[in-house]
Amino acid sequence: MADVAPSFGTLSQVAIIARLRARIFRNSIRTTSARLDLVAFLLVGALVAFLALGIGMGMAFGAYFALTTGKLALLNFLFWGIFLAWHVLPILFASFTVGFDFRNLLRFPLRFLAFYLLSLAYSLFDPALLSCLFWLICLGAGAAFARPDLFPAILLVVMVFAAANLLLGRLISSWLERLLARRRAREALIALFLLSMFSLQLFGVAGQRWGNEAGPLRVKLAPLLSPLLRPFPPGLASSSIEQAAQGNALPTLAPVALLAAYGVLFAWLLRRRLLAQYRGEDLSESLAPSRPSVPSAFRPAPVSSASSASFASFILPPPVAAMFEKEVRYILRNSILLLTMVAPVLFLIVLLSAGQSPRPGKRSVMPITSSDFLFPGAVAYAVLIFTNLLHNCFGYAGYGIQLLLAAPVRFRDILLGVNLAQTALVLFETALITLFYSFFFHPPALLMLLATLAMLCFLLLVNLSAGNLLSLYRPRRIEFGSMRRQQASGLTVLIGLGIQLASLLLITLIFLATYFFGGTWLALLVFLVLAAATAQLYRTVLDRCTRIALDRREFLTAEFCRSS
Amino acid sequence: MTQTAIATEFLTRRFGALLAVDRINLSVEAGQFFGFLGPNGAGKSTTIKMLTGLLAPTSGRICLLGLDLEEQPIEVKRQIGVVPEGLALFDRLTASEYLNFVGRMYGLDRRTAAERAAELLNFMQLADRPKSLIVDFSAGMKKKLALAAAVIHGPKILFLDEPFEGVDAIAAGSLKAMLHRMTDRGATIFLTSHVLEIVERLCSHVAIIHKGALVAQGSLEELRAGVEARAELHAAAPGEKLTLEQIFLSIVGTGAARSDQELSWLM
Repeated sequence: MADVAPSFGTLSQVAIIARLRARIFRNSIRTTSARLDLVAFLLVGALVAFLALGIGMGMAFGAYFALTTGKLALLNFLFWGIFLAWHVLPILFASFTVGFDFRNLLRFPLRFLAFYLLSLAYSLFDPALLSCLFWLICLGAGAAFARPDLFPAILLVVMVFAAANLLLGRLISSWLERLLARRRAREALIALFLLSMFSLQLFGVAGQRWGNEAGPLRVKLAPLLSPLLRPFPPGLASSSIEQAAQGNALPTLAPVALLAAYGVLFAWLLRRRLLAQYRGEDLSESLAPSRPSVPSAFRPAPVSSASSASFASFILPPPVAAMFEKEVRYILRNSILLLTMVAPVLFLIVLLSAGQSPRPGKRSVMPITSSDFLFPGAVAYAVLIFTNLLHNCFGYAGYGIQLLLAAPVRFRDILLGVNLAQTALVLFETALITLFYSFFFHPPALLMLLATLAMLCFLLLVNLSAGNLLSLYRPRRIEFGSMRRQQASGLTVLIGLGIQLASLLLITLIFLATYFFGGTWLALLVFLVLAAATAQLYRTVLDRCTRIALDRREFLTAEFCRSS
Repeated sequence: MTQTAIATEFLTRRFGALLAVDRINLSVEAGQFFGFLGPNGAGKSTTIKMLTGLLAPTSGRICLLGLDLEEQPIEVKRQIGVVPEGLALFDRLTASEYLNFVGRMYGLDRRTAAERAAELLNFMQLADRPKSLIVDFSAGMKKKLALAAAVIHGPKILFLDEPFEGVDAIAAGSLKAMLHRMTDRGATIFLTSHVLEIVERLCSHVAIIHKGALVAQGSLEELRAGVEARAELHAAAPGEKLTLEQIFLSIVGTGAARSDQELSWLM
């Protein structure tokens, strides 16, 4: 009789899966292009690590300062900072990280405990989460350095707080996974998330602008808010260290016990969630048909609305017009992209408000605070925020790339259609900015408007030329409505960053030169010359793209047709 | 006089050290329903990709309808339709938008593309979800849509990679009838499928590729006669013909001769 597979321990199962992850990583960097991406990732990672190190030192110093000066309320603020970062940063940076759905492992005879442990361990590999853990350790180290006698209490608090956060973080992400499994829910949630991110940025700018006025209100609100925040994990963690610092043994233990109770609650809720996954919860997309189907024999297909003639079809060759219209449809269905369009307008409104009524006693030293330069600045920012789209033209094409390669159309025309749609998007954004600028401030001077449009031509043509080449040489498939893999390839991002920095520096220098040495007409002239030169560059690049696409068709198919 | 629709001369494709397709000489007459068979990894999809211009050959020549694919790619592509492996859909469009888009990419005017799209959606029974995006379609519906897109411009040659995978029996029946009508009118259909019964029922001619090399090519009768003559393999009962599966296994080998000794631990 045949033997069945012998059962083996949870630790062995965890070890096997750890080896699997290592193998997947090693296999993922076998190609030169993947290695280049890794190098780019490491460069960006080094910058992020430097930033994390700085914040960690700040945490350590803050805790030290709080305990040596007796300003213990500061600890509450530090713990809340870590708590919020712990649960927001991993979601914020999810688009930069590689996805791995370990629910796939459930086909194997994996014990629930192993699944649970793996789930927790997996979340620990998140760089954002590791940063938060590092900051927490720094906070603890700073506190222990200030009061070595409190070391055991601090160690206990830090460990329990870390465990509770780890469990809560995994709980949040497992619920997000469930919510994000449905396309519509996913896109709505991502839209909401991005909007909240923009709002946070807006709060930052608004805080700078109205911080002084809000000061007295803040002073009044702080004592009211502080007790309300105490019953939550960060409040409990800071309470226990505060009590320990005041030499109260029992009140030290009570908040730690409550913190541990939170941890147990999170662990139980996570167990429920993971148990549902373990038992085979189906999260497939196809569960949500849009509506019951009616036999088509009884319902003749209407001639599509797409058949109604559009403006594009009158002035563009048919394949270019078809490509343009398809791209416009894709843009209109991309909630993430549409939300991105809000950012420049929001910033413009806040900056204009700040510019109109500067803080008392503050004098502007840079010409950028002059409202005249805000307009071209906002327009340049509009191009900047669409960099990912401009430099990865076929990001959302997926398997559709095969149609583009098999169709009897020169790739030049395909790219032209895509570029026209991208240009329309940027022009629409520019029109929005002009509208808001005129409404909240005053219409831009005609010469400045013309200079800005010439600058836009130059900037757009530079980015379209570079983008067309990067789209063929360094493309990256991007998932619609997914939190992960929203970025172009690492190298494309680095090159794009270099192009943006160089062109923005040039634009700034030109505007500064005109500010100090002449009128805006000079900027208009310089930008017109630059736009004419880049137009020629764009044309040359576009003409070469048919050949490049033909030479790289295999690479393009492989990149876009791999299963995600 | 019959025209050669598909002709390859020493068509070769290497992936590094791997020789995926090895000096293939194919010849398919216009109007044939041609089945291209082979075991997994034999080089079928690589060949179809090269024939449709999705992959450059390492060496060799491809002529479709007398035109050299490398020299006149646009002219050739205009006359062929393809349902590639993994399909080629833009899944954030509706079915109607997608068919209109494909029609216009293949040079149809806007009105003709719209009319044909509507007609094809009815035929494929996809008209009842006009507002659904393709991403929400089932695998079978996506396959039907890809087939509709491949024929919207009335191609003279149609390349189909596993066209009936995931398609329900009713739709498959209609599709087969449509494909036969196309060949009756002179179109050539080049099809790969692992379901040998389908190939046997549909195709008049077959080629078999094994480890990158073309090991057999001809009409079903020619292949049958060849196998019977060479391997002395005969149908089980008098009057019965060798099935395509028997012919296929005889040519490429079953590889299961040692199965009694292997995997002895399996129940």
